[in-house]
Amino acid sequence: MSFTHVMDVSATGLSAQRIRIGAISSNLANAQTTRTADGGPYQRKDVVFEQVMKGEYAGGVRVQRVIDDEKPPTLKYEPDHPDANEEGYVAYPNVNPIEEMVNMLEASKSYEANATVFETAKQLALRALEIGRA
Amino acid sequence: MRNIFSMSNVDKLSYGMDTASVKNNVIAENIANVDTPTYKASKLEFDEVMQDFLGTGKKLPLAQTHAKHFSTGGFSGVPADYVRFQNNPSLRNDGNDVNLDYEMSEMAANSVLYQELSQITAGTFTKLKTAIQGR
Repeated sequence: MSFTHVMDVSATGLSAQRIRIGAISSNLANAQTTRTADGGPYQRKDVVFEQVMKGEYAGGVRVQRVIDDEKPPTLKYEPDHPDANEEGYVAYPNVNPIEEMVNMLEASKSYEANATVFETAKQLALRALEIGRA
Repeated sequence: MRNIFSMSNVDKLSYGMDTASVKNNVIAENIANVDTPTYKASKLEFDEVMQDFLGTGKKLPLAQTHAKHFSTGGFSGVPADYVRFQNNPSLRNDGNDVNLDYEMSEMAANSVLYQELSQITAGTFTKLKTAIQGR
């Protein structure tokens, strides 16, 4: 139980939030992608966070897996589009830009919070080193 | 056994710093898991640990006046044993009950406390040095 442990924990928080922001940026970048390697439109990605346990000690957080959002795609009537089906509808990704922006704000605030914890732990560790210097 | 350091409270100060650093751990864990579904926040009450350590709490210290008495049990001496769940009401639909503002303010207060204790500790050593060197 030391300050380096705090730094490890905060670092896991930082990297988890960064992966989350990566998923969000992928969602926003592909908000209009109607064709993918798997066929069909792009599916929204989401991350699943899980607490890390090292034995009985808590050791921060990690991204357990990245999942595809199974919400149905949005259908738009565009008969001239190359990806339109027989009825003239195009399946657009199930990405809602507003939702993504809200998640991005949340992730960036959480990232900042973890960065602050890291910084505090560093300051305290340095402060402890000053004991006995006189 | 009273030695030069226990007379100058260094042991109490260092125990306080230990407690504050464990508390910092608990807060870091809560903040790292601020977006983890079903995660429940923990807390460590600094005052409670210190009162038990110094024997100034509400618990009356039981004296062991005979070798066959049961151990008094109350104080384990390990700050980590005082970590408990906060049991906040959770308004979030993922069951997570971390209150980020509370954690950040606790961390700021805890950090000031730690620096206070370390400064007093450093001052104590300075005084001891002065006393030993006589100048």
